[in-house]
Amino acid sequence: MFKIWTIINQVRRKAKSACLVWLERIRKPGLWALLLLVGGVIALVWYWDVRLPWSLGPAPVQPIEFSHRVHVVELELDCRFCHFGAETEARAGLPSPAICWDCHQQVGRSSIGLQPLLEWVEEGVPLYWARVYRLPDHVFFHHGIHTQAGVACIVCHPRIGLEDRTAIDIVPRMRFCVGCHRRAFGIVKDKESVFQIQPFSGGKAISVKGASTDCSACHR
Amino acid sequence: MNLNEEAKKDLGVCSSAWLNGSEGPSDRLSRRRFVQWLSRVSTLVGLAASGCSGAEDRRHFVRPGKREHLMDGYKWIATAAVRLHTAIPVVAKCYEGRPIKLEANPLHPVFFRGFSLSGYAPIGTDAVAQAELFNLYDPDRAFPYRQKADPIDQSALWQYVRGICARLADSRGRGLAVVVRAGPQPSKYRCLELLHDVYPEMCVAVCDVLRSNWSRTSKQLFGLELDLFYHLEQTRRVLSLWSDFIGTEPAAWCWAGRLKANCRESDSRCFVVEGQLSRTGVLADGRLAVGPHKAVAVCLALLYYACRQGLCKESTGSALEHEFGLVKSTLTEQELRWLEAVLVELSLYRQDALVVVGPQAPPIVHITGCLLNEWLGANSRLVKYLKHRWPARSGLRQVEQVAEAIRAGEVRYLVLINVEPHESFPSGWHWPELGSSPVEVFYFLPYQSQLMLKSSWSGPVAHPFESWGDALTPDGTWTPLQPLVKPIWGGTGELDLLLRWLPDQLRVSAYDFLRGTFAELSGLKDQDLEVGFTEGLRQGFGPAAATEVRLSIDLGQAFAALRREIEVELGKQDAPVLLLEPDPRWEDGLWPNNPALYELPDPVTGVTWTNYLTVGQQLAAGLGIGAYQPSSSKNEVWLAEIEIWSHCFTLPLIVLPAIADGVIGARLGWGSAKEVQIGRGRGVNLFRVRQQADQYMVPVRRIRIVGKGLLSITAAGLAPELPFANSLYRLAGLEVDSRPASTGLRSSTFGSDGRPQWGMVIDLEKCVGCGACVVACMVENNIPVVGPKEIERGRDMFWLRIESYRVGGDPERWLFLPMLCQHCEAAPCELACPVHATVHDSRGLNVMIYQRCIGARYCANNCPYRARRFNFFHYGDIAFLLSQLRTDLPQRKEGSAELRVWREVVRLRLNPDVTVRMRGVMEKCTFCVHRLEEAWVKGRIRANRSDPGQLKEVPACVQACPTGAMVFGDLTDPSSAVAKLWNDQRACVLLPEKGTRPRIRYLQRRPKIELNELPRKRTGDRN
Repeated sequence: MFKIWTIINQVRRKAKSACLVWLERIRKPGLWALLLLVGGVIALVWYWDVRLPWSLGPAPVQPIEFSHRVHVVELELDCRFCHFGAETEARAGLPSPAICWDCHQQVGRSSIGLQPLLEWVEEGVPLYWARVYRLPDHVFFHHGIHTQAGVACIVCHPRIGLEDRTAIDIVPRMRFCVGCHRRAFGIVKDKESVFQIQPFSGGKAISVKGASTDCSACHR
Repeated sequence: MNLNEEAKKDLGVCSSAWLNGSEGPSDRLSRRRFVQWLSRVSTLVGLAASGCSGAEDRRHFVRPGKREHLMDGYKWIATAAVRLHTAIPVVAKCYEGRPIKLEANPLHPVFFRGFSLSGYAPIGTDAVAQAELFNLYDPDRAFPYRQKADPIDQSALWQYVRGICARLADSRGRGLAVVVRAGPQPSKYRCLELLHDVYPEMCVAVCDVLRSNWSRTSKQLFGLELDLFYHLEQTRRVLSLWSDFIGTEPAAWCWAGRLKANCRESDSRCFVVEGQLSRTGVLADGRLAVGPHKAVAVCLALLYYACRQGLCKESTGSALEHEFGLVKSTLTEQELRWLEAVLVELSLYRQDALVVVGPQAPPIVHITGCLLNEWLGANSRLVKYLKHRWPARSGLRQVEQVAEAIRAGEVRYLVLINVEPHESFPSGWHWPELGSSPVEVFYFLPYQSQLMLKSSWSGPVAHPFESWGDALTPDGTWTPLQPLVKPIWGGTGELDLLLRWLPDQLRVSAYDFLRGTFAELSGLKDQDLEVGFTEGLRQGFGPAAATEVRLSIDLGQAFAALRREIEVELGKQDAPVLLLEPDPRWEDGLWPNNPALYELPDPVTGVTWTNYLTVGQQLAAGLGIGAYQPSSSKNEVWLAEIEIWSHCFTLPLIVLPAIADGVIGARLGWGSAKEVQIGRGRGVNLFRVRQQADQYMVPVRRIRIVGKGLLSITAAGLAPELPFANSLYRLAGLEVDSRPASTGLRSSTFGSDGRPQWGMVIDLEKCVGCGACVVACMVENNIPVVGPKEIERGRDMFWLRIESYRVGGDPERWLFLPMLCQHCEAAPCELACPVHATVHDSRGLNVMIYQRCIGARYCANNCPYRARRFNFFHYGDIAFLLSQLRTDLPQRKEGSAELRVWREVVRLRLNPDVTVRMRGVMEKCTFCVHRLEEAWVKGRIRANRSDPGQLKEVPACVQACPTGAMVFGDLTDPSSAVAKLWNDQRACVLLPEKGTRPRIRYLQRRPKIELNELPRKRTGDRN
């Protein structure tokens, strides 16, 4: 144990002296400024992309290990089976555990992973489900109008069918939205294939004019 | 599919399963538990609107047992906004189980849907109803049930009450007294009847501190208390006798809508006799300023002239001549001529003319009004007399009788529900001090008062939106009230509180009792009853609970009553009198904590946050105020000390033109002493100068100026100079210009391709300045309340304000001008913005992007309409308002638990579709772009499903307007109402010389008709 600490201390001392030497070298203020600038940019990008809640990150741990892959690809459930706001409402909706219970009172009821669901049903213990996607407060997104217009689910959730643990797949930035809104060729599909989530699962792409790029379409 | 069917499809019934029985200890939500619960749902709320709560709290709370909790989106639930004397049928827009906006229920039969060429049917509410949600989400309502001062559990109280009830049933209710607030709730009266049957010796009183003089007169004339319903839409000439029937009367929303519905088509006109300067007065075509202390003279003059025109037989008429001769001298020659001219005018329009009498006018005026209506043929045609199914029966006592019984020691258990003896009872009721008496008091109020802590038992009353109940609209339709949320602070509904006093075998839940009421009204049974009741709840109305009675007036009896009243009135002195006018915002002061209503400026004076005295110029000269304002600052006013009997009050004094001589006006209902953060000590409580509940005129012993003071007057108030004289003169109908306002749309500039081009037309003839649009805008767009100090600095945040202007040098002819962002096609604000934060969109809206705004405020400086508002502070945070108000209550410190509760609860009210603006950004009217988008999206979805429903989605202000004065729509659609009015001859824009090409046009008012030209022939001309 003691030995490890000595090694660490040696490394620290060496690193310190190396730093001092290096600091000695850059005397010019221009270099300092450049260094600060680069550091600032890195920090900013890190903050923007990693720290902010709507950016990409690791998949949060949920009380139940719910796998979209199993339900959607293997069992071929329709998105709307659980997210039934997706077709008409602004929010696709986080399904109530009652919907899980509809099937799982028959299937896999004894599995350990479903224990929280059983507790919810029997004792009313609430489930704390972590939110995955989150838009900034000043953006108003409407699921219904997008699916109605033929924007397939996989446009914004491209990896949902591959994931065992749901994570954010894209950074929902304004340029991502505006890219489609300006010119929607190749993204808009016909009505039948909007809710198919296996990539390349067919359904022909149709061309429509771009959607509104008014500020007021999303920011109110 | 028309609007009604559309609305029907969307209405829902509240899920009664979990709302129904709101009893038992588990239902009580303590403040602590509430905070815990709130923090769990804060992600949901955070997503909804207010500032980003950060990444740390990203958890949903999935409530057990409710399947549709998270995905139900919006739900529309029909209910009603109930007040002391009226109820407005509304539909509540509920988001995630909490109401966020109220809108008029378009299905309800109280609204007039007749043909109207100009604009929409008058389906709207009023300002007070729109602000109701501020009462619902009010943290000051949080207080526990108590025994003496100790908090107890609710169940202990009810257990105790059950014990008492069992004992009382044996003693036929001896020793029990119940005093309950008056109101339009039929089930309440039904319940009182039931109580009276069970306990025949109990003492029940219905307490109405703002009693109408009509009810007394009605008893005198017809032997029973009747309600009046005016079919104003059929009238062509209306004479108002001391009645502000489109202004401050409880049902003004209904009368204004009906009066203005056909006003252009039928060229209806209104004449007003009044002491104050009311909105009805300044909008009328003729106005006579006479205080009600001269009511005898005015009434006798009118009756005398009417008698000459054939009101009654010669003998009675000549007898009146004698009495008229006695009082004639109190009126000037000019006033008498005016009255005669009005009478001639009314007689020309016999069958279409109506006399409306204000509830505060002395009884003699009510008798006169009844007689004149009989003469004009208006009774039973234009005036309907409604008899309640469950009237306050003769078994019910007066409050003074209860007080007497208490003093006599006959009362052991006293139940007070929603009444405040120390705040609003007139002194003539002699309410005893209960502190030392052996009476056991059960006291229930929505807000905690000092008296509650001294009572044996006390508890909170739930808001009407938290409990089952019902109400009568002015036309007598039974309107059920559904609970929209579970009682947030654990209160009990008023009906529930009464039902608790029934013995065990009779006690039912409020829901079942309500169904019983419905069954009695509709006569349905069993299965039909279930279906009918559910349908009634869903639509928000049921059968009529007050039916019309046809009456014939016995002229002899009426004249006898008149003579008695003359004797009474002649004995009164006519020194300067204080006219006490109930304030529709506060009524009896039961809900004193509504910030939106404090902030809403009075449309005539523009004053906010306090009450004040108003005097005419003659009286002001008598007080020695040379210039009517102490300085050039608009906010600085004189303070006057007024002495009435032994009371002395100091109030701000406002001098208004054309107020009757010898009359001082003031508003009741202010000056609450309750422990509430916002409403405590705003204004002065004038209830205690009254001796009787129907006394609205008190003699003033002395009035003098004591100094200067500051008032928070909005820039829109007090009828200022004319900033845009030319356009205003046109708007007032003074200068008739047949040239259309400007040429066509410039929509091509905005790259429109088949998108709607939004525009609005506001009919100034129909605007009555009620402010419903202002509050609707506040609620819809999360507009913060900024407090009196910020208003003083001119930093009010109203996106939509009502400006009032005196026009044409005539102090009695005003103009109410709803002023909002004009959405100019050539908008000056857009040119000034350095960061493109304000731009045009393809639908012709001038939109504001808060994320781009850097707060340069160039746009506001460049706006000629003063339509832009700047967030100088973080007004959206309730802590700002609380710190501004500084009541004598302990301050809410930053970071304290109480402040946290305030913040969380106030957030629940916010509309999740609109951003809460941060400090340092500009904001302004968006034409409720989120509502338009929502309608457009719904339309697209419906079209895809080949379900072609036309959704008429309009901005919140248009929806709220009770007169249909605002018309909104797509200008490119030639069939739309707005496109038809857009190029109307009367349409004009504001400041045409600026070349801004606004997307809002105003329809000018009709020219005034002159009474002096009389007598004329009845004309059929239609304007």
